[in-house]
Amino acid sequence: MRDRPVFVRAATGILVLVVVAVAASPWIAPSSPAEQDLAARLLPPGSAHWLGTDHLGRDTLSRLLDGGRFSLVIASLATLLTGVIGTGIGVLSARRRGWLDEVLTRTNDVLLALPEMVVALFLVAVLGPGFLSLVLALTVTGWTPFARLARALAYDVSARGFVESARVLGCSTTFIVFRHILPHLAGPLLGQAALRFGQFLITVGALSYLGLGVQPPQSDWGSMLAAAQPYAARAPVGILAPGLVVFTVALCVTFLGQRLARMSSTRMVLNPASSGAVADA
Amino acid sequence: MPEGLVVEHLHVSHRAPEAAPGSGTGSAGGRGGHPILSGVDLAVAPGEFVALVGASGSGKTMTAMSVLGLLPPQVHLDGGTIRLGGTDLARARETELNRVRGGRIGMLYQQPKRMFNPRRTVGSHLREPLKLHGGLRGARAGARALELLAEVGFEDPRWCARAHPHQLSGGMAQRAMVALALAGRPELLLADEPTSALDTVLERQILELIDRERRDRGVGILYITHNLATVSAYADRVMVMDTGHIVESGPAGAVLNAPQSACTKALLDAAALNPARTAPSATEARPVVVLDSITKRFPSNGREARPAVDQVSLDLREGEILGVLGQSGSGKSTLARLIVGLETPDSGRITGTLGADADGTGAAGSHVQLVFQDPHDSFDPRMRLRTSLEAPLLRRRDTTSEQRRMRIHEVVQEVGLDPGLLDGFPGQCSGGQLQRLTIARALLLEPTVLICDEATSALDAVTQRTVLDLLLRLHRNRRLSLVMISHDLSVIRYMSHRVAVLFQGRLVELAETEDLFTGPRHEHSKQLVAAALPRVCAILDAHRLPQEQVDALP
Repeated sequence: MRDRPVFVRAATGILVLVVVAVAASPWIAPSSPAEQDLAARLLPPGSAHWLGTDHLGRDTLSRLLDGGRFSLVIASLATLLTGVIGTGIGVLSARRRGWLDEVLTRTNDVLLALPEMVVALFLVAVLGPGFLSLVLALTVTGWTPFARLARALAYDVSARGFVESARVLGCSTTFIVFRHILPHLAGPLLGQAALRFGQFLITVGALSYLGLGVQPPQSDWGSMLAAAQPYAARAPVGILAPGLVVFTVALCVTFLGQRLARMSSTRMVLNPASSGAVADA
Repeated sequence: MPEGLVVEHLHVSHRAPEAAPGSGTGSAGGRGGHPILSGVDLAVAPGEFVALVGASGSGKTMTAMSVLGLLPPQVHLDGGTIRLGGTDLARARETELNRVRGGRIGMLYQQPKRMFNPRRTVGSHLREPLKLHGGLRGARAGARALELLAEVGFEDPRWCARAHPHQLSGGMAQRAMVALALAGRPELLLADEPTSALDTVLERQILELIDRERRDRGVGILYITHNLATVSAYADRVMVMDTGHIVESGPAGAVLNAPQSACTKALLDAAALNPARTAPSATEARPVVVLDSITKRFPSNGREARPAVDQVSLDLREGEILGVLGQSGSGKSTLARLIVGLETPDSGRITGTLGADADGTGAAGSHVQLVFQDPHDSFDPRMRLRTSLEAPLLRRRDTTSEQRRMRIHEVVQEVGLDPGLLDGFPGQCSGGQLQRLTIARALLLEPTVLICDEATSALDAVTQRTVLDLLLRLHRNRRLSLVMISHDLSVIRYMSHRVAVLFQGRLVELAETEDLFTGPRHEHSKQLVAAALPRVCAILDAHRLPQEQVDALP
């Protein structure tokens, strides 16, 4: 059911559409996202403004396209950074073991115990809102799930016969890590990355909603939600549109990520002796 | 018709998912796909011990799984009947099958530990069939569980009932599995290689246990194995299976005495590992690896840990085959890992007299190589075999990729394989082929010592024989010193010049092979040699049955 090609195609299509539209927003947006027209405030969807206007008379569709750039880039960047850092730390823990593993794992525990949102809020408050401080705020705590997963899987794979054989045969550590261990982690980590991307998208939105993300006149999906909230009753599209986009993109990415994770683990199912060993996380 | 299990004209095939018809109605007409079982007939009467023997991949396990209605998703039952005392299992509904599985049919698996849920105690596993099939609950189920555990030979059933699977040794886990299989008071026991992973002493215990159930309660037994020698002493009838067909079947004596098919003959030959070679006692040769009172302890939570290897001193001479014999948990594998440097000893010294041993990592770097037990696990399932073989050569910068390619092809041919295999993945090879490739991979580094840690235990008897012969050939042609680690006495006897017996981490006996097998000195060695089913060995050595069994023939 989850693997029906219809769903896969639909999710891919939606994502491609959103990414292309957002990337091309300067050229395809019907009007400038910052252009105010106080005479046309809070309009419902119509032919001039497909998704209506907000409380300053700005075109919602244009703002949605423009704001998406910010949300998507931050979420992707944060996913990439946390993924690389977390995987690196996790594999390092598993390979070195001993005190280093202990220190890294305890740090991980401490960070996991702190609510991600609170740490992000604190960091953004201290560093001041902005693109870099948002990425930093997400990365500082965001690597922990990757590290946990990578460490656990790397421990498992390291105990497998082929890694021990490689050691006896004198293969270099680089070879063992990059050719033996990492390919086995790829599937579950991709799945994790997809989940995290969705979460980051929502966290960025939430921070912006609280006024700590992007600053006006720049907008993103979260700040649009915040701005539209007082007028929810008069112009519901203003709040529905960004909310639905965040929801849909997060859903599609998660769905596709899990599919990717499953696909990358099928190659090992060829081997009956090891099927299911590192199948799903 | 007699009662018991009757299987007639069983056809089972494997279909790729795209080949499976979307509107499959199960009609016998659509007999597509790759056949796994083609017209298997077999019967197990109550109180009868039937052995189903065959090489791996011959369809033995699939036969058992068809009986239980537990075929894997892409495998389909195309035709035939499976009846158990009047019930047609091939057409039974799931609810009915659930009453049969674990109830009327008990099942023993090869790897009992994997069949237990690691988070639940043995007792709680046992209470489940007692409740489902016996209607026992609470204290009565608990009491019955203890009875069962005592019955299968646990001296302290209370401890076992409270134990989690990881606290049991391999033999204990298999006995607990027997208790579990008996809990539903089965009419039939399906045993799928339950002793292949156990050493001979434990194997004997399990077989005795199963056989006692047969005698006392009239349970029918279908015993699946690739080892003819194991069951020939117990089985009433033997059926030999090859590529989905029953190629030979008859009373155990008749099949062993006068094998008809080539497959049976191959299995018999493989089972009879005659120590035909004259062992050149290489007393004058210089030692290549010397162990000087090695001790290795593994940290274990709370408990006072017995050292895995305790004060072992041993030397391996040049061009010698040294057998290392011991039960599971005797420290054999730890010893191998110490020699190649996967573990470092807590005390004692390992010295190799050849090559670069100055760095202190193990005996001699690439001069000592190790072949592991599970060939499927020795190769990265995601890596092409060629890459796996080439990897250790990459460190030597002085070769071009063309030279490496030639070298790999040479060695792969030396172990008797087609280099064409190298472009595939490990999943496409059989266990025997993979084990040859592990040997080839080790040989690429030109070792002087090859340690084989149960290298043939996961292989069926015929494949085992060919791999052992390959090792002997390499030993002769390359003057390779071999360390054969095994729990299988026949393998050790077939291969080794000298044998070291390990017991609880200590070296209890070191003797010339023939001296050990004819006159073991240490108590434990005596026990090991006695458990080697001497009756069977005698039968197979002579290819002839003793008189009392000939008389018993129908």
